[in-house]
Amino acid sequence: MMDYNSFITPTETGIKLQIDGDEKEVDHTLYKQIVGSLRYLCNTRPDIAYCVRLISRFMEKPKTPHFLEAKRILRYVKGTLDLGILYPYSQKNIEGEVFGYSDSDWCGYKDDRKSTTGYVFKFGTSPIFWCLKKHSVVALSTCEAEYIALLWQPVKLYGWKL
Amino acid sequence: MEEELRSIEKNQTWELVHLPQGKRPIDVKWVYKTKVKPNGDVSKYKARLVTRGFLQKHGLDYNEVFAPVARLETVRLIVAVASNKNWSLYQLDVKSAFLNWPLKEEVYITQPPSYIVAGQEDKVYKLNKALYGLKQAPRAWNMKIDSFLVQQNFTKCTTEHGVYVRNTDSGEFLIICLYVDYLLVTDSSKEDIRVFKGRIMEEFEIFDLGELSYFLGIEFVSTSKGIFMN
Repeated sequence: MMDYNSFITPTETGIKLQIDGDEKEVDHTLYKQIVGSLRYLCNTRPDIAYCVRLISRFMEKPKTPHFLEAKRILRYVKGTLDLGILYPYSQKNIEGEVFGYSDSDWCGYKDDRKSTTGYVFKFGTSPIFWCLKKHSVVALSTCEAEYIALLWQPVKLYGWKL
Repeated sequence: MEEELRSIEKNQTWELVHLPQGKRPIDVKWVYKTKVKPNGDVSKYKARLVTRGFLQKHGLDYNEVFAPVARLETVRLIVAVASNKNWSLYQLDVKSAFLNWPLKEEVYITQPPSYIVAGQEDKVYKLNKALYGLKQAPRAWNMKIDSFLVQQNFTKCTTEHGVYVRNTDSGEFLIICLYVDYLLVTDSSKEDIRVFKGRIMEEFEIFDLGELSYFLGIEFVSTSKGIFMN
């Protein structure tokens, strides 16, 4: 794995992975170890949050395409080891300001038709918290999906429980 | 192993007694760990004596087990705020944190493997203070540090129980972020931080890890423009 070439993107655009399929199953333990390590890496790397979420859905029965996707993320990480987040000194005009942004897809996950939301909070110019999560309910329209996404922000910010 | 036992003896964690009737001792074992630096070099080898806490029974050997830790996003927010204000960040590590606090419940453990006192093989240790692996150990430690910080005029954050803040009269801030036995300390004045370090070192055995560089497996580097995290 060490002498593989690196990728410049962590995943293909519009990739769809599914649970069912007649591909060969791969080593569960290895797959889970990779996903676990990548999830911890997400604590400092928001850029891979989306694709790590994508592969962590198949922990129970990982198959060849899922494993290839996991390997692709590792190769992306290899090429971007020197990237990180900068928390700058003395920014102007950001006294206590935290911004939040969110977005949602609709029915992105074909196995149970649930939508996925991503959101990020920024302090000044640097992100401090980010998350990508599949909804726990099925949204009937893109509009509804966006509302659910919006709701999550104050939930996170004020520590409410749903 | 020798060092671990010395640390335990020094804290008067246990005493050798006969097992009272109706009590069951909990097994102990050694766990060996290698601590590494960010570049992969070995920084120290550790042997730690742990109890097999899963043998404890709720209500009999322990009651409350919950202990809060700071969330990672809180750590990042504190780093972001401190960096923006040009405050310096320091990191402290409490040595043998879980061995510091007296236990409420009566707990007996067997003698550690390969360190059995000759002639007293049938005796067991009665624990006066918590030991790693006990169900209530993290809570015991958290209560201890909590009462210490409150006594030092810190206020606990209401939504995030791992964060403590102190406002001084001169308008200075001191923020502490608690992650089990790691403390992330930041302050608007260097003088206050020095005084606080002195205080906490009187109370606990502390490794001063200096400026923030490596916290929870995340590397922080100070550059000319800001603090860089990767």
